[in-house]
Amino acid sequence: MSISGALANALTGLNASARAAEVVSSNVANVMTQGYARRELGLAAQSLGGVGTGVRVTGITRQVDQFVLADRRLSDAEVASQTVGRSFFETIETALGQPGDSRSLSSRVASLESALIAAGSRPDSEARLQSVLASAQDIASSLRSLSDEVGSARTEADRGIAASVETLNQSLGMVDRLNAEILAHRSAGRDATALMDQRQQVIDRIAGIVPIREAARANDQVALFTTGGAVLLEGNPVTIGFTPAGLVTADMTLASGALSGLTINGMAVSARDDGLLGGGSLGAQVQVRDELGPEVQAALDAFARDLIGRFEDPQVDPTLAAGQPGLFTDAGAAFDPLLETGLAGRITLNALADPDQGGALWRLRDGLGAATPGQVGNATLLNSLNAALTAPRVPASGQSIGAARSASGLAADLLSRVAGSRQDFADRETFATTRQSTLTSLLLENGVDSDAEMQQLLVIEQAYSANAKVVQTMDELIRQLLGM
Amino acid sequence: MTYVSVGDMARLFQLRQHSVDLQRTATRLTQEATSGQVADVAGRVGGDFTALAGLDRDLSALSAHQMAASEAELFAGSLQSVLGTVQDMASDLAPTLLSFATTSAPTLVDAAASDAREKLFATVGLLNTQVADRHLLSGTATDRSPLAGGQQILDALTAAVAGQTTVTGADAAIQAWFDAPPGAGGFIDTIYQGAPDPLAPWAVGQGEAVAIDLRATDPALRTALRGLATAALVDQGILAGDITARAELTRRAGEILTGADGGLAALRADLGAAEARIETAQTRNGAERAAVEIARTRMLAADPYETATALEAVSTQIETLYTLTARLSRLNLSEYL
Repeated sequence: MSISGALANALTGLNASARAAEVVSSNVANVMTQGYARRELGLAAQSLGGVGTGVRVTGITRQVDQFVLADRRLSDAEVASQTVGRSFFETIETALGQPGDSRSLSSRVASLESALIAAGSRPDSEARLQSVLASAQDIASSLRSLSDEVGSARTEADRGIAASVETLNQSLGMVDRLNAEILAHRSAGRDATALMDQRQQVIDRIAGIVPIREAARANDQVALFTTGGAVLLEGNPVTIGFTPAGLVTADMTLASGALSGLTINGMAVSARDDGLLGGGSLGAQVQVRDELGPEVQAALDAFARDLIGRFEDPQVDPTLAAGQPGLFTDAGAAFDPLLETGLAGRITLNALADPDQGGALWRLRDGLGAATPGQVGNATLLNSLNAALTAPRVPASGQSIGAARSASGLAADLLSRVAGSRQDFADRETFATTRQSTLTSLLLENGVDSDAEMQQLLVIEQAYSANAKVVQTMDELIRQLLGM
Repeated sequence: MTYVSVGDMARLFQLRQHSVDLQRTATRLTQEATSGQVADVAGRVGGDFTALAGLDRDLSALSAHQMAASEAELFAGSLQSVLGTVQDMASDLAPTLLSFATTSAPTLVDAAASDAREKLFATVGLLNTQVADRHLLSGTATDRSPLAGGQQILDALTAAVAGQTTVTGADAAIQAWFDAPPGAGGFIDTIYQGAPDPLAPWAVGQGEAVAIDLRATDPALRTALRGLATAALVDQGILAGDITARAELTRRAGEILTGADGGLAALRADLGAAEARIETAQTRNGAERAAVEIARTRMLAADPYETATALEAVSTQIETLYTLTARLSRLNLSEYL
């Protein structure tokens, strides 16, 4: 009996060694695979009726540090969120341009000042009046293209939200299916670790969009929650709803109903970055569309309003009637405080001064309301236009600390605001990225170590040959018995 | 059995991170070394572009002011030389005219009167000078010459003194015509073609303006013209036949011209003061430009020594990283099995 018992034990040992070699080979084959969790073989001594009967393979476990994984997923969401904000402000900052760049807004305002000084010295020179017109047109076109940039950033954000919601819904569905398959495999006693690897990767994808917490459930199931408190998957996945708006213009806001918010299973949830679905790239894109974008637009509109207001004054240009637009207009009309939103996208030069639109250059010298050209050497209006441009004025709207600034000062303030916000986001992004790298590093340390696998292989070799030797010896013993 | 092992991918990930960081630093330092300016301007100014934008704006405004100052310099210089020539002509002629008495020979009087007529035409021509396609004494109407012409003056005056038989009468009539206020049909209405408004001041510096508001209607210039015209009218033939009256009138013209000299000198002195202010402004602009450029460079400059040293250090680090990568990749148990 004990000889056959020994034989049986040796056979279980051979089997265990073979399984161990299989696990080692699987690990070594996947040494470069992203998202592969190192497998370990679970062994336990088998006993039957109090008597040891060899070794039993209890199963193959995935070695994943769940705590580090959870932290890394949160840092993924943080990095994704800050990147969205930073790249938005970077786009606007690049469009605004730095002071040394001749296409920047502040340089263009300075060019207009210089052109007015030069024209004031030779008011009879058509070339100088033309350069005043060109400089003013450059400023207006700068403001319009900046307004377009903000609009297209918001449109991109809206599209991004739609894409994120789509990815989120699909991923949640996939996790649910994988849950079901893992349950089925476990019930059948098969190895479900590959499916668990896949599920981990799908959840990683979700982690960039919204910050999530994974909760383990019985039978290797998982439930997913956002850090904001929303349930994403508990038995069944939720459906996130969102309607893309197509083109987003300055007047479209969430409050006006023109833009869609987010719903979970049909119930409206706050779409803010600190709401149920905030904290990741989804929340950041909502923030760009609903908060950051409109703030920049409001700042541009305040600048445009100040610029228009400087020249719409009968004290600057006596030929203007009250209510008549000055050098800069709101698409041809005078400024209306009720229509300030989107003003930067509509600001144009008064057609009366533009020869291409049926006006005349001499109106820059003699006044926009003048019917006929006046004396060619008259520089009074040109000097007063320059004085209006450089005079310190408290901006009538927008966030200002109430200090009186010249037009070029306001342009510099605008750039400083945007650059400052960009740096804030960049600093937070750097911090989050560093944290993400550290956690990724920690997580990868748990991965496959080919040296350890080689060492393990040596041990397995030894164990296999030892078990084989036992089989040989038992066989020898039986032969001896039979030979008696 | 639980192992304490370090995954292969961890080392690969870290080496790759370091490599990317070092490459990025090397690129930035190279850019700074070649351009002499920091790569991240926003970081250098701490996100506040007010000062930098202010300096750039000052630089562009200074260029415009320099241009205005040099144009003002040209204008004032030309005007100064015009007034100088007019003054010289008047002071050349005055002694000759003053020397006449009631007993002077008519031929001498006629010769002097003819000379006065030539000088009147020359003076009108000078006052109508254009410089750089701009008339100097027309006020804001720089496209029109200020005075209609010497002959027109004499014709208008001939009509104004028609019927006068005495020297005092003729003199008074000529003076009344020259000094007539706008709307009374005198010099300002019929001969002056320029604008009533003077040219606006030139913006030669930040907050600094130099005004030269001299027009052909200035009293000193009118007095000089009056003197020349009075003598020229004798040549034209007024008070015909009355030899003593003609001599007397010519002498009277000499007196007017002598009186005008003081006024012209005052005009030139004012103009000289304006020229001095323009020159001071130009000097100041030049110095300010240099100072602003220095400040701007200092704000954005990347110290070449520091940049070169840092670049050297980064290159060494990259080389070390490459060596490490090669060595570590050979440290493998499978190499020894």
